[in-house]
Amino acid sequence: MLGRKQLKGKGSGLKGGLFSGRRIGTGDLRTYEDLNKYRRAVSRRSKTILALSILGLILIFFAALMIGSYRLSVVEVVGMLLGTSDDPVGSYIVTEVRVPRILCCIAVGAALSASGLVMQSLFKNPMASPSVLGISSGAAFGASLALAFGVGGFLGRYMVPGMAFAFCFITMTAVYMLARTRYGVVSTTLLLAGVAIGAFFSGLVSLLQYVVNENVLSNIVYWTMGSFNNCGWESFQLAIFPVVAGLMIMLFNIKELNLVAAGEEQAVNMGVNIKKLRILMITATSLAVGGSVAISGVIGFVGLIVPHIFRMAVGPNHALLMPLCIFGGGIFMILMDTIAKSAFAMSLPVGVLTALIGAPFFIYVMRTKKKEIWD
Amino acid sequence: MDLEIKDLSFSYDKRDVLCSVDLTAKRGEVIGIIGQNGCGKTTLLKCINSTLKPGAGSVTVDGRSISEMSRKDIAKKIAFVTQTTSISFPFSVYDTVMMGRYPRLEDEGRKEDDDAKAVFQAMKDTGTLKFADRPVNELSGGERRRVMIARSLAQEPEILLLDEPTLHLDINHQFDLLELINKLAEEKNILVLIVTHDIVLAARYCDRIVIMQNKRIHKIGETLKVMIPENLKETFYIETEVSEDDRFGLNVLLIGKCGDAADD
Amino acid sequence: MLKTNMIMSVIAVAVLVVAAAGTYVILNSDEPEKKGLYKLDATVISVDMGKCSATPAVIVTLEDMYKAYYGDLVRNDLTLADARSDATFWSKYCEWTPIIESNPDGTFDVRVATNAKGTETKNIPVCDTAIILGTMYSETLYYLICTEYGTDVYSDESYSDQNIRDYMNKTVAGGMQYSYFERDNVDYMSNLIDAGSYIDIGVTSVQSLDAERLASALVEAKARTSGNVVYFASGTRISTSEHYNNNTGPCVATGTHYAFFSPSEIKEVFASVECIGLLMGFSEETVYGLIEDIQLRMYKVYYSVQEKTAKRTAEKAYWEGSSGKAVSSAMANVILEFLGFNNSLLDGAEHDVESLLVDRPAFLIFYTNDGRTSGEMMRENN
Repeated sequence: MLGRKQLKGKGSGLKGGLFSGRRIGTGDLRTYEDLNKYRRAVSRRSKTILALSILGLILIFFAALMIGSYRLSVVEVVGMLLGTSDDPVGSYIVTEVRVPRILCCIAVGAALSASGLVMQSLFKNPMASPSVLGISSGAAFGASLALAFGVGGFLGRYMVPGMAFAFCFITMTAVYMLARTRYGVVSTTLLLAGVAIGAFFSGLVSLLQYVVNENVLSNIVYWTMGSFNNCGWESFQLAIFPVVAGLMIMLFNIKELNLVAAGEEQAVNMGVNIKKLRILMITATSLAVGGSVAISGVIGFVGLIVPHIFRMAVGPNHALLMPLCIFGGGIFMILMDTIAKSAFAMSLPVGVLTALIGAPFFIYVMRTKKKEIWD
Repeated sequence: MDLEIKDLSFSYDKRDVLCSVDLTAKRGEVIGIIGQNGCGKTTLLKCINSTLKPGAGSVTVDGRSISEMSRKDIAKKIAFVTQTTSISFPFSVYDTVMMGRYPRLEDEGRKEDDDAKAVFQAMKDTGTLKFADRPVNELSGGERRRVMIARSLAQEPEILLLDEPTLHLDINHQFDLLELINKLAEEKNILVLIVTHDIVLAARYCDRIVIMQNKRIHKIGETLKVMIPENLKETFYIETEVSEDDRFGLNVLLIGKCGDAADD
Repeated sequence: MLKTNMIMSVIAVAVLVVAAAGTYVILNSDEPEKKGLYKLDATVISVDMGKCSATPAVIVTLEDMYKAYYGDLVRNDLTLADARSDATFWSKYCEWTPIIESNPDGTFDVRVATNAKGTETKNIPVCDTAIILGTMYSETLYYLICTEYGTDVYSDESYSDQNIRDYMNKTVAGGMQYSYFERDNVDYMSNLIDAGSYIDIGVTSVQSLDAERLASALVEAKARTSGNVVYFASGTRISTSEHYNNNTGPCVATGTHYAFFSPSEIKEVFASVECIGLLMGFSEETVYGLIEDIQLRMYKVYYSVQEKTAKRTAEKAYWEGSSGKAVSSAMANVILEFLGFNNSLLDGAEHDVESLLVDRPAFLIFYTNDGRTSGEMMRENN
């Protein structure tokens, strides 16, 4: 796992020490000053990691900008970005096709990763993620309704993301209600509820495919595979508001998430308003996932893989983990999309690639996390 | 400051769990709550810090009813150390103890240093400083419990509720823990309520004893007066001998099950 | 107790023996029992899917299906004048609304329609090179060039004619995945178009189009000619704003043109032929000559159908795609209606053997590119 993180964050190769476990090496702490030193060391480390991840994101943004089926050299791309180029085709490609596509990758990657993290912490389940818990299927169904029958037309251009958001919310609430018991949320029940609800909505989407005419059908089918092929500036504008809103809500509740991750009962004892937190988090993830599914279709496993990788690297403190998942999620998504569109003879929908990588990862998590105390 | 519990009742799904409980206590006291399983001990604790909402009756702290207080305000006054010490994620001990500062983060006039100082003091008092950077789930049961107590101390509470704090601990650590609790109660003038199964330790380390039976408080009073063989026989169906020992105070000798106990 | 049990077992064995005997008898009866849909004794035909959309080749489908079901034409000596005077036929199937208008300066105004943005009028000059995302457009060009040279479509003669070969290679510079032509037996394309010089954009649908590849293709096409390049694609499939951007952005950026088509009835085939023909510089003689030829052939079939189905209730036809579900496209409905069939079974759903045996379609239609065996298609094992 360390290797993977080092691959993604360019320049992180030199900081092997940062990721080699969580211990900062405190020796014997005896005085208040000692503790302060430790505190500052932790803080420094966090800031460095964050800075590196932002740097990594910027670097990979530019790297991805160079890749595409239309051949452009680095110099040309820079010129097109700065607006000094007089090649209309290249400029079009760079500014209207590649830049918005990569920006959409960042938005979707960040949204799915952060949502996966929130779900894993809230439900204390290592498998929780938008696709596993059927949330993405619900969002896809909402989006399909909008596409097929124009349901939600009153929302105008926000019709598709609006419906996706609404169904995200409904799905997540349903899963939560099914899994809730007097003693909190039971892990296995949660997963089963997610599978059930996911299957239900997938079934509905299939039913929809049966009912609609050919043209809408191909749109819906395409949707379920997840792709950034049709993500231009319009898509970015559509998704950025709900995604940012969702992420903001999550970021404002980092402390609460830490406490809840420690244990719901303990969090309540320390003053967390659990009901309010749940509603906020369900809303936040619905906004983020809804906005993402609306533009890129269903992309699975991102919300599962990314939080796990970063949690293993830097620990469970959301103060660092949440922003890291946001930037790291963006990096991950850009990587996946770039590989999917250019590494194979036929360009693959990115959802297929993440599923191919995600399933073995899922199995890996299942097998190793048996030992950890998760519930 | 006073803790006053009046006529407290609680039921789960039409099943009575607590009936008309009355209790008052002062800061600095260590009160042990004992009784058979199902007598309502833990439920009582949970009603005190409002984790459970009582069906009837009231809990007031310093004259203020807790049902009118926000969760954060309650957490500032009352800390609860649960039975289970497991934490799902490998948070560092420092981060864990820092969680206890949550209710006070938005206090007026709070300085950033205040949190660090409180955490430091809590960890020093519980002897957990040396674990600061360790992941909390790598610690032993006893060490973890001390961390949880440090966390609850970081809340700077006036009342500390402990649910079976000595469960699963090595015997020497059980002594350590109760010595620590007593010391803290005295030094910081905290009211401590301990729910425990351990009659022997309760006798040694508590100022007052509450014996609960059948969802009610059966006997309450100074340890010396309440911890007598008649009461223990009545509630626990065991034969005991109680004596005073110069070395450690009250000694309860457990002889065995009552010969003529009614079959339950 | 025992006695009852014994009697029961004796009866059970007797029943089994009778059943076995009966099965044996039935299985060995002289006449082989018909299985699955063969029981219907319906006419069965397989048609080329590419010729069932709004392309000039639809006439081939109509003629083939007519012949399979009804046999020979009633009259072969009808003229275009006869067709025109048959007002019902003419207004329903032949009077089209043009989507192209010639301007005095030699350019054209083309009404481009997409599901995403409705209709817009684009001013397009005469073009000589096309990038096609759909076989309908290349097929139209093929029909036009064959009409110009007086050659029969789909004939070996047309495949070996150098003029036709040169024209097709130059004009259809590239577009949808070349391997599609081989896979789906689009013979005129695989026979005429040289795979090496064909600019492949790697997809077969507008939704999966990669804007960058389209841009490269258009740039390369433009480099090959001093004339104008146009991009042809399906307007109905361009159903979202982003699809629209992806398909038009590259054209605007490369200084090329685009035209999208959304035909759903036979009339609109003529509108498309006219548009593509005039836009690509064919003479009015060729364009309207082809159109009239198709109209006349259509009328002959229509006339015969009217004769054969007069005073009879329409028989049901069942048309199934390779997915095992009934076809439901607009053109399929139009075709069956034209041929005098009841098209109530074209609902896009799965029809199992039993329901089909109840509905009793007299005409079963499948696609030639259906991967199933005839046994599977006819549900022989059910």
